[in-house]
Amino acid sequence: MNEMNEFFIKTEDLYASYEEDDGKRVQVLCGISLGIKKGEYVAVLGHNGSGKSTFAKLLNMIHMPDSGKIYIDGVDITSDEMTERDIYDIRRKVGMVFQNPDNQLVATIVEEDVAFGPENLGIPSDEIRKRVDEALQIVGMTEYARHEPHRLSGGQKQRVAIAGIIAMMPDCMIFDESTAMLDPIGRREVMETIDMLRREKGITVINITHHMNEAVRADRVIVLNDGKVYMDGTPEEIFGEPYKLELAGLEVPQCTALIQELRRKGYKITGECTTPEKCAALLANFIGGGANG
Amino acid sequence: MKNISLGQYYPGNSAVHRADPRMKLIFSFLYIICSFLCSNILSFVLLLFSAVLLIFVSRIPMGLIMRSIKPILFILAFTVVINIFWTSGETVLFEWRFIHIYLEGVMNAIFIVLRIFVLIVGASLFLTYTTTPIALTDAIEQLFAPLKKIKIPVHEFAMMMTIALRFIPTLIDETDKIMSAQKARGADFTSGSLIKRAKALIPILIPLFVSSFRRADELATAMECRCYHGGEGRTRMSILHYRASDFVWLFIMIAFGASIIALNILSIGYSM
Repeated sequence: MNEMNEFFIKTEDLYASYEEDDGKRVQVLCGISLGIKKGEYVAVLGHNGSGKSTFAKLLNMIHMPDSGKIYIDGVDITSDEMTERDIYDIRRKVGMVFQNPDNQLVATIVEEDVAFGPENLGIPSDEIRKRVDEALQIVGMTEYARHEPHRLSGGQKQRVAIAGIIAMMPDCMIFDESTAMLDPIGRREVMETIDMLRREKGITVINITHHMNEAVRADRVIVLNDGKVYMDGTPEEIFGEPYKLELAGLEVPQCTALIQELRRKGYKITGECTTPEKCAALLANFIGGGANG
Repeated sequence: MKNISLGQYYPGNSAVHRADPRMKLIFSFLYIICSFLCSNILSFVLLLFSAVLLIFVSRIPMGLIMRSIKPILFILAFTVVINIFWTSGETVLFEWRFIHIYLEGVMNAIFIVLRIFVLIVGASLFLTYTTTPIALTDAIEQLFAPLKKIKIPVHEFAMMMTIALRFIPTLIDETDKIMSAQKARGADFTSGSLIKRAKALIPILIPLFVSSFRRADELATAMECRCYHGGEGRTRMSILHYRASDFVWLFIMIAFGASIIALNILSIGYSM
């Protein structure tokens, strides 16, 4: 029981498959066992078809696994005793933001869209009002409350989508390639919102992404390959093994690659780096040190 | 394309704009009934007067109203011709060979034109020009809520309307993109015969359909993730409330209907 409380999400030997249009079954997950702690910030990496999206959809009961167990907040969601109410409760706890911002906004006005989730949960009107105002304020979209979604930029739409989840008061948020369709400005807006949610609301964050620069912001990186957990560790540990990553069809962040390349050329730079800032500091330190010596 | 506006809503803050959308829905219905009840000159004068008053109160520019009449001008002209030439009566106004025009026919034509005119003015002033499509959808959902008891999926209809309204601009944007993409590949949408041009639209419609289905699928998943499960047990953030002014409107409307009926009974002058 103790262990269950420690992990907000826990999966045991998870197998999942889906049926393609031509009726062929594709095995996407082959025995995933992992635990994610409350308040943890996890990035999930993997090339296309590595099963990362399917994994996310298992966590809020959009898909069901073929076998294996999933515990969310200590509740076994694969059990047959889950009632409809329980399912809504899981979906409330584990919110999900998708890739295309256009295809997840339902209402014709921003604040009505944010209210959509709480309305479905049957929350009283004045309470919804309060939550919507708060959620819009958190993502910094208060001034757009009465706007029509189609007039917003991609990043703003995605922030509205995030507000729509926040208004349901989730414990965990999954971002399923939520920045993939955004321009660099939109991407930064969304990443900053995620960091802030994590910091101020203590929400468990799972960010499924292609971008290594996003993955380095997390506490922990999980690399999926061929339906299995291929690597699992801190960003420094993961990006410290570029060859192993390459085998999974992934690259290390450019700054990490730079330091590794320099090291191979014989420069004795010590320390690990995953962000441009850290990289600059390492190099400055090395050059400074070199000059002194 | 970003500035596309939905429906014909004309922003404003008149008494008509501020009235409860449910009331306006009821009013436009009552107004249509009233315009059909009119059967003599006096009641028609009152009806026309009310339409003018409504235009004045709602502060919708006359040009805009004329624009809403435009599409039906042909039908109006057609009914006028039919009524003038094919109504027989007692008082002959004009006779030439096989053409007989009677006073009754002319009066009928005038009445019908006026009736259609008032009908359109009433409906567009109460609904399309002064009510946003969103408010209208809310009104429909809340006004017809009692029908849920007899298993009519009121909420689902309203939800469908909302989603349609939400996605119209998105799909227009998309059509624009597909058209540009096809043009870049040498497609020609502007020349050739009508059939040729219609055929040129196929390469636009097919990708549009495919992407709409994909969108629908993604939207459904996103809605499920936000605990959507139909109208059952669902609450609303904004609930419409009737205000005192709405009851003033209702009173005026009832008085208006009653006077039309009274004037009909008086039957002074020409009647149908």
